[in-house]
Amino acid sequence: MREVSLLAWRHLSSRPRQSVLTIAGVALGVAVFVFTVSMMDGLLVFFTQSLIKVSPLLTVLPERLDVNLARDQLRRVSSDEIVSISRPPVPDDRPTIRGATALAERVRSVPGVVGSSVAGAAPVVLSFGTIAEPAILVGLDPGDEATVTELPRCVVQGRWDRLAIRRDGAVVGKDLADRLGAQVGDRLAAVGDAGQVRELEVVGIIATGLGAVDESSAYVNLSVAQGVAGWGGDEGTEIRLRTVAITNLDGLRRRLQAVTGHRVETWEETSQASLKLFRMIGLTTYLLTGFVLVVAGLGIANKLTTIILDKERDIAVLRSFGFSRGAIRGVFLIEGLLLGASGTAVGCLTAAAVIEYFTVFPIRFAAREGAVLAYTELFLAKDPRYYLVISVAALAISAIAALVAVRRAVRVVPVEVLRGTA
Amino acid sequence: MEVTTPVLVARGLTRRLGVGAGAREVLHGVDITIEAGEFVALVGPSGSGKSTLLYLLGGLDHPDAGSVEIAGEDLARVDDDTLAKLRNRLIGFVYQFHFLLPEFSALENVLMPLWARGGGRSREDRALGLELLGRVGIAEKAGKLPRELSGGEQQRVAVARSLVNRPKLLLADEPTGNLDSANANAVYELFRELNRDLGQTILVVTHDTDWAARSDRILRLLDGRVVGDERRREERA
Repeated sequence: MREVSLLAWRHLSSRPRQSVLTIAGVALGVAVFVFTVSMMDGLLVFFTQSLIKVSPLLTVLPERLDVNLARDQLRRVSSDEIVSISRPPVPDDRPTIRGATALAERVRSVPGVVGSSVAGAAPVVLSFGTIAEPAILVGLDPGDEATVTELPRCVVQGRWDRLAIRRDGAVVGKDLADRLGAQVGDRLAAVGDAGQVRELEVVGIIATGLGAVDESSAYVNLSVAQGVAGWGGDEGTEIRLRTVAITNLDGLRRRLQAVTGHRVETWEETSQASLKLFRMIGLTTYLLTGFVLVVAGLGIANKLTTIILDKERDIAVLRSFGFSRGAIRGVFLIEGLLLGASGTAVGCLTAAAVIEYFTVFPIRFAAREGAVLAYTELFLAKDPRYYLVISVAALAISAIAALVAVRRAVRVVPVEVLRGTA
Repeated sequence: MEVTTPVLVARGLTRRLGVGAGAREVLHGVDITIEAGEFVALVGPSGSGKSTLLYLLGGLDHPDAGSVEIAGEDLARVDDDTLAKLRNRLIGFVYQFHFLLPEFSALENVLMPLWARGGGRSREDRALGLELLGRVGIAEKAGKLPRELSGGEQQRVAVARSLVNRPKLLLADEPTGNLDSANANAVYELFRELNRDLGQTILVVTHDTDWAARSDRILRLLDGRVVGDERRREERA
């Protein structure tokens, strides 16, 4: 093995420029891959963190499950006799939770839940002077909300707790406020879809980084939203929950569904579309950068094929001395792995250095109005698994490239080469 | 009467080269026996099948018919990897061109056949390599790369390399064909010395009539058949 390794090493070291170029190809592929994965994961982590900061981890929705449950149970008991069950439409059927406050109290006592807040979201048109903008008026209890999300900390002008003092107070999303031209202290008019009008005073401007919030939301007291939407005093469109755990919430979600009889959604389900989009973009990027590695693998195959063509006579001579086909295969496999491993090491170190550099000196972008995410700084995720995965992949590609090239080497028939040379 | 042991026994060696309509038989049932310690020259005109025969005897090629036994091992009946091991253990090769590996020093080239069997790294092996380089007269150039040696020195290294595995049979294919007369003579003297001092059995394919004339035995090949077998040891003695 030592001898085989030495042969491999001498082949590579006798062509330093070719070897360095091949290693550089692999290194580039590895570095680009790690950096891209770090960037994509960073974006996803940033989005997730922004989302978790301002969204409830679990949300109790108006949709009732106990009706469907009763229907299913009935079907099971008398499946022969019941053909269909339907509920006649209720004239005042509204997508709200009745008795929301009591329900919020009840779920607060469920183990794993640390905070709950009743919220009611209603579409409105907000106007300030001559400017009118469509918006979502989110009614909530400002104190309860502070136990569920970090919305209060996202206020960039004014104060969140002024909501508790001023019944007609509103904390407006920054982009929405900019479009309206409104500032703290200005008075807005909110018109609900049934024509109800409420005057609001801007007590705060909020910037969460999430386009969905900053672009179109205005937070008010629950009673204000209820009035604008024409709901009763104990109605809300959701109960927002904070839990101890952030992930693996499915068990708690089912327990809460059993307790409330309502459909309960995790934050991942609520933001499924956005998360899927990020993952799709990530996957596409991985595939594209993966091709860089495949090209680097072709570089290794090309380099080895060149060596093998050049070394056919030496291979024949070695075989004539008694080197087995396996040993010859070993020489070139080791060469492929040496190139791959060197390129991987250089690539990983380069990527780590670049990631560290941009962590210390981050790239900043100008905030763009209308963006899904206020991503104003390159956020790079760091995870040793990136390096592990890419190292395994790069070595596998190198080994495959070497195996493809080495087939020619083991097919060398000494007598044919030696006779030809003579 | 002198009792000798055959190192090489070849029987009925037949070899066809080429494919299809272009195929032709270049060896027609060749029988050769070489005793231990013989210094044999294989001569014949170009195209008579000398090199083809040498490659068959060295286990580098497979005969279409016939058998080759070296020190009792039948080369025709073993698989490729076993054949490689037998070549390593039993046979030393010297070619017309030195075929040294350019990335390795003279000493490393000499030790290369030992590397094939996982050796060549011990102090003893290195001492053997140096001793062989000394025997061929270039011990002081052990650390030089092939490109730093003259043609004659390169061929000496090749000779030392062929001996490092202490072969039963040394096969040489036109070993002086690429050398000037002075170097050719030096290589001949080297072979003669190895044969005389170490009892090394040697079979040399050569066009060099002078070389052939100074060997113990001359095998003449013509059109793929042995047409002459002339023993000269007694005459010289």
